[in-house]
Amino acid sequence: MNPISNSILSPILNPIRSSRPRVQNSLPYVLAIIATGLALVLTIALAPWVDRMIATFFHLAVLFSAAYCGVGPAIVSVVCSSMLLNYYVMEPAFAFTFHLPTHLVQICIFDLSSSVIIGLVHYFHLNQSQIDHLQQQLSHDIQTRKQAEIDLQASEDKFRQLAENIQDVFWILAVNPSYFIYVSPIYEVIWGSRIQDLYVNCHRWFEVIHPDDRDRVETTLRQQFSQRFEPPLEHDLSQGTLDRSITQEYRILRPDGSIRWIRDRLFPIRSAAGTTIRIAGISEDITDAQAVEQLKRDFISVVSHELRTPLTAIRGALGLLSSGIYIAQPERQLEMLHIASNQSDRLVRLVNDILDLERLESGHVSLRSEPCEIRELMQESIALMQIQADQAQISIEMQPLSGQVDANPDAIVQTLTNLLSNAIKFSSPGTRIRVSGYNQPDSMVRFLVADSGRGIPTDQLDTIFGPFQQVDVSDSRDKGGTGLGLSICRAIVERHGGRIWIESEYGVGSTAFFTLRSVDQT
Amino acid sequence: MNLQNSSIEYQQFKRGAFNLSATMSVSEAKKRRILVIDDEPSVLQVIQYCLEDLAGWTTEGVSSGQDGLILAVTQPFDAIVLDLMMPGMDGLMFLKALRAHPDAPDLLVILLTAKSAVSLESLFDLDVAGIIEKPFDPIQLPIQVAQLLNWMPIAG
Repeated sequence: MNPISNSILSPILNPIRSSRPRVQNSLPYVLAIIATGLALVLTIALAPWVDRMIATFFHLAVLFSAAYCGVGPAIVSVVCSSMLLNYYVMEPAFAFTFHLPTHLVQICIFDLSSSVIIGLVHYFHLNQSQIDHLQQQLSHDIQTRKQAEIDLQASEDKFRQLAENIQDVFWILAVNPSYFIYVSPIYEVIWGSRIQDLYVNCHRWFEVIHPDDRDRVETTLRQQFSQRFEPPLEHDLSQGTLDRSITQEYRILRPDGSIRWIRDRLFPIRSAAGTTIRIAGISEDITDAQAVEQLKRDFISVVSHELRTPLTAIRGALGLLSSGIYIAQPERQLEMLHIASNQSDRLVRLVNDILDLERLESGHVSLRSEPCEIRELMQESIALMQIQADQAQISIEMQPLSGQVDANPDAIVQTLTNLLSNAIKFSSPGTRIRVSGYNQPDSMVRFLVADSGRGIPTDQLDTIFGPFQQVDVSDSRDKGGTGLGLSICRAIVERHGGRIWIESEYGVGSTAFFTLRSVDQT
Repeated sequence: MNLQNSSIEYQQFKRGAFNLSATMSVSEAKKRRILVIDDEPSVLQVIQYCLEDLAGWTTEGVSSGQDGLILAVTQPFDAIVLDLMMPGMDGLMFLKALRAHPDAPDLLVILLTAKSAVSLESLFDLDVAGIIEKPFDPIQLPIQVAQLLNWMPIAG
């Protein structure tokens, strides 16, 4: 196809081409000319039987060209047909000259009818391609919409999975008038009340807040959200909300009477004008975390007090000494030195015990176990405590058990001496402490240290193993303990896979028990 | 270094830089009497020595809030130095009981404690003259006590 027809005819041809297989550029013309030639051959060959003037075959050639080759080749076919008709078919044959004006009219009629054929075919093609195009668009639209629906469903699923499986309450609140747009279902578990009530009346959120916290929460909310904010220059809702988030912690009263600690994080959603139109929030139950935090705070406060007390005495005693006021009073000097020395010892014991306990509880120290003779463990522990017992005029009696346990000997001796030390501290002079053991049916060995001391109140039998949980806080001072002995014992025994407990009758005596795995002697 | 400092301070103290003993001797007719309450015997002793040997005051020491309360309402004292963290009746309970006691005079009370251990709101109604932090500087202790109780013009 020449460049001119390419540029002029391409808009017309394009629909045709696009709706059928692409043919070589010059091929349609060749095909049109061949069809026209074929028409000439057929016309001449069948002349004896068909009236030559009908020019039927040329019409067919034009129709073929128009249908299968396009408008251009069809016009070429018409031109060729007219010339061939004129040259070969009309009288005089083999010449372009006319004898009769009717021949010119006939050629004109042929051209006209051929043009009509081309026009009709082309019109039909245009329509066809338009329909094809529309159909394509429609199916594309349908596909897009289907994809959007799938995407929406997936997004909804993602949101639901997020909101309904995370153990925190997600919610969105509309402001003015206020109502909850969404509250995730875990609300019912944490608050212990029906979500429906909250949808009906959003003020229920405040009604269940602990009376001591309610005013604080409401005031903060009002202050934060009543203000108008100038929107940032490049307005971006998602950014605008994050920088103003508010965190609040408060207690709620549940219908069953229990109290839970809640932490709210609120994210205001603002309109373009800067007013808060909605509030998004995440509320989590921090009751357990709060309890752990409280324990930690208590422990640190007790430790700091325990460390501060000997330090105060040491600093005071040394300060007085170094001031020189006791230069002439050697007995006062000695007294101050005694205080400083004793309190330093106490500080060392305390620091050692805290470190011991920390290492045992965090698992940083490895206790290597080996088979230990039960009798040897008991004898060694009693030997270590004998001096202290003699000073307190208390006798220690051993009822040994033959056999072995799987344990770290140093740690078990530390446990036994701790228990013995406690027993000695809380026994009156002249009494007896019994160290014994027996095999349990579950291949554990039970050790026991029994005294006839003052005993432990029943309600403290469990808590006494906690750090700094003496029955009487003054014990740590009077008896020289650190308040960590039983905590260390428990940590050691539990690291061995055993159990430790105390049975006691107040005023009659206490018995400490612990169990260790026995070694089968087969 | 600290010990050296305290020695220097005491020398200044003796030279009258703080002029505490001098002030005291003027009002010697009425010797200051202070009740010290601390459950820790060694700390109690050190406090008493500081107040007696450095400032020349007389002190009475007890190791529990209960004993302290009995003494405070039966004997005359000019002030109380009180430990806050004690087993049984702690410093706050003692203060409340003291302020609520019909026979209790309006005794001046100074708390000896770790600052972190006490919330100022809880002390608001209890009319505390001041707080001295533990561990305290023994040389400074009588000076701090005197300043808090307005017993002398603030030196230096």
